[in-house]
Amino acid sequence: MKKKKEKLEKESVVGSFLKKIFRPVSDGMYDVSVFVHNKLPKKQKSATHKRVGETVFYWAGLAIPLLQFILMYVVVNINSFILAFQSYEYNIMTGEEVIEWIGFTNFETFWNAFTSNPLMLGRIKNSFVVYGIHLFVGTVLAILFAYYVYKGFKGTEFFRVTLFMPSILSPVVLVMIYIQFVEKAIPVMFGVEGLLAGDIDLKFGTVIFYNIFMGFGSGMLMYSNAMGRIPDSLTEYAQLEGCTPIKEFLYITLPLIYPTIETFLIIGLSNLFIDQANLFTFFMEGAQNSGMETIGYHLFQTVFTERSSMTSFPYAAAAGLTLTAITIPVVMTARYFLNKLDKGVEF
Amino acid sequence: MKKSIKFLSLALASLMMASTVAACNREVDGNDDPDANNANISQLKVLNYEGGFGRVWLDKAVERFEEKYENVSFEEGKKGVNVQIESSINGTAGNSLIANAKTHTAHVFFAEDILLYSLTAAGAAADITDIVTGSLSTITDGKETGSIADKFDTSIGNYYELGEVRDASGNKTQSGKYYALPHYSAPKGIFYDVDLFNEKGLWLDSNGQPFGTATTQANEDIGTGPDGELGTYDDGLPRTFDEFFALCDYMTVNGVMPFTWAGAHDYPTSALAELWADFEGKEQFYLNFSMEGTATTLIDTMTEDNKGNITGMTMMPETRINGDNAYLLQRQKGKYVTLEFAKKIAENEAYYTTESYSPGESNIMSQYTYLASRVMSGRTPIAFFFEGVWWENEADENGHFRDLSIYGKGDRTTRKFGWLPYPKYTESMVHENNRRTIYDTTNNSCAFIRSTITDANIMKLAKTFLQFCYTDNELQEFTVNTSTLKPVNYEIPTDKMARMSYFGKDVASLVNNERVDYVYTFSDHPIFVNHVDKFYMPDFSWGDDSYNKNPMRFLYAKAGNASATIKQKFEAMVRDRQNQWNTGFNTVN
Repeated sequence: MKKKKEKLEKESVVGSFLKKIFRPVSDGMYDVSVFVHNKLPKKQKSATHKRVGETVFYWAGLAIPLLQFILMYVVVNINSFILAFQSYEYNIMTGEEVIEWIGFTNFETFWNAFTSNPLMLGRIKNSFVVYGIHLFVGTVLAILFAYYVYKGFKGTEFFRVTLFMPSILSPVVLVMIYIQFVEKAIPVMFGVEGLLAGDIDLKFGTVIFYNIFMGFGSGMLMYSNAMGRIPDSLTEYAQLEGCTPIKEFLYITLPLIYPTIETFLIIGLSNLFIDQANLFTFFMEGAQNSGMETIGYHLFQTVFTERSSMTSFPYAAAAGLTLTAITIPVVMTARYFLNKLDKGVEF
Repeated sequence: MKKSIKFLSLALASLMMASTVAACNREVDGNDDPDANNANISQLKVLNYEGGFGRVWLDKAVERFEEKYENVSFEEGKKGVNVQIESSINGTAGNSLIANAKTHTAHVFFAEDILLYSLTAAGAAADITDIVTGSLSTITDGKETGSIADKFDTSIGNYYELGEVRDASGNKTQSGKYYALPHYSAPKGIFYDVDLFNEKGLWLDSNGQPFGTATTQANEDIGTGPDGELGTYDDGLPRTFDEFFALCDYMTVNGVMPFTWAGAHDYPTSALAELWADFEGKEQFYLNFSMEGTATTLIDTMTEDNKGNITGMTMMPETRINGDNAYLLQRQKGKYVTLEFAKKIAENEAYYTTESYSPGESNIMSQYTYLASRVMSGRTPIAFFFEGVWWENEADENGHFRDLSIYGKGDRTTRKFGWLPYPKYTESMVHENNRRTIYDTTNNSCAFIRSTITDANIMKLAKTFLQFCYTDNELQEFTVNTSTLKPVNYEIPTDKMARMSYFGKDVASLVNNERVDYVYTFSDHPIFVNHVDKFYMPDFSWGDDSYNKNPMRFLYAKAGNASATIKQKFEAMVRDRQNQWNTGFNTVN
């Protein structure tokens, strides 16, 4: 305490010295600016002129991000939409690409596979498995951990740092560390085989565990932030009335953060056919037809690989549109029923 | 207490953050080139894909080029050439390079995974017909009179020449244009440790039995090897499947691990396709790409017992193959034979290391595992290695040979490795007229010049450099430095062979071997051209609509696919390829 006071006293000596030098300078500059302002003719801006100026300023700030959005999102998606109805071939004489309209052929091909190809059915199953585990395990645990952190129980800071740190590190680095751990460290520690080398269910489970564990941080952060907005007076009143932490969680916290939970549930559902569960990061192309593929991985694999050509893109575009057409009504229906459960509490 | 926790958290966070910037960096640019900004010398920039084949070959080629043109003026007011090399595994291959090539600073590109028609459709490659078809006499000071095009194998030449017209007899009536050149030969296969074979007496005698004591291929009682002829490179190697697996069994009880490979990559998938090619022979195997000819080895039906063993097989009659029915080639017997071979390895855990199925074992790590196995104490020496032919060069440029030389068992110049010729399926196939067939995709590697070079002098310089790299001397030096080949025809003189490692000599000697056929997996058939990615060997060889495309994974008992038999896999492959044909390649795989 004494040191702090001495430190403050030292600073004020330095501060007063600096003030003595620079205050006259700043006072002088202020006087100059006032003099100049008084001397210059004053323009009277009309209200319209002022509004135009504000509008120009507003749009000037928005122009570049808006242009980027139009080019990188709107145009790209329009192009993807058109791509789904085309085929790409190469003219073997000139090497130039030949684009033809083929109607719904790409959609037909994808739909046939979607409904009957064993590999595709396996991918759908895996997509639902990944989503289900995210929903019933990942989301539940994230909410519970968020509540734990929100209540400030023992080890809160440790959990906050440990669980959130994966979110700020490169997924490729984390996957590499994880692979080495499950393939080299665990066999040495427990005398078992590597978890990614053998049985396909064990492999898939190991990958899903990684996804759940690494996904904690962002979910926990969002939920704990939502919980942090709950008025202290409410929780204190509940505690005074003898409410236990569990009852507080079930009857106060959960209902009040329900809009946040609903948002994440909707987002999760819309990602159902996009989520590749980090399979590409783990295995690159090695997860193809491995029994672990999700639809998201398959579509990514179709267009991403360095050796893919434009001839694969129309099929992938059609697949994407078909899955969107399936997902939208599901998401809208889920949103309708989830909204019904919302008590509409505001605070 | 709070301060110390904060400090600890900060320290941990810093450590984690530091790990994100810890990575190997193999990128080298021309920043330390003293002539990079010399205005009196013409500057040429070259981009090189460094994976596998490295950059040493290019460094030396550049040295020779700069020396040759030291006093030549390509631009007014300038004399000589300075070549700046940008060499990396990032951004130097595939579609990402094609997308950026037109605006790249490099003039000449040596890249991999470049689909020729994607390159030309993007308009990224300059027309180099003049240097490909023009005489090499000037650039070689009269030592060569032919052209680069004269060195092409027919299949690869037809693919790279766009727009040529041929009559019904196949004679060219109108020449086409060239926009790129094939860069390197990249077959995959099984490689073996010759020193280990010598030490442990793993060579097979004339009765097909391992000697069991230290000996070499010079032993008088040595077996003929798969080519059925004594006094050749494959003496003492297993002649048939039976001998091969008997040798593997012998290894397992005598302290030798038969196999290892990189679990993170599917090299066995491509390497096993070589057995398919070898069984079929050049003419039958190339049907898969030319889609024109008569197939003679197509399986019609198979019967299996309740254990999945094939008990009977009927063959289809000779079948005329064209673009409408080329999917039938999935029925080639060579594919079934290869699955049998793979199954015998995959289902016997004593045959391979645990790393072979671990996704944590990268190709670089696997090379170290293999090289270290014989020299480091406490390790079981490993005999065979599934990899690509570039593996020795890649291991060398990653420092493995240097690092392991401390154990006193030699380095790249003294250690001996060989490329295993696949054993023949049956005894009857071992005779002095049989042939060894090797397929080569070149990894779709190619060399090209950026089309957007506006300065005519620089374009001339770039073309001169590219043509220089395809003279016989440079092709030979590429082989000397990398222990691999270029996918064009050229001789390798004895004095240059003498400079190569044992493995390099083994690879190079196949060029001059009259009983070895190379099949380049290229054609100008419209189906191939428009769907090159569907002919990518791992997918094309073993992809199907039901199972893992890697035979070693599909047949690996622990992978949970034990219920899938060879017959089921075979039928799934045929079904999938037929489906691709029926849907015009708008397919799921």
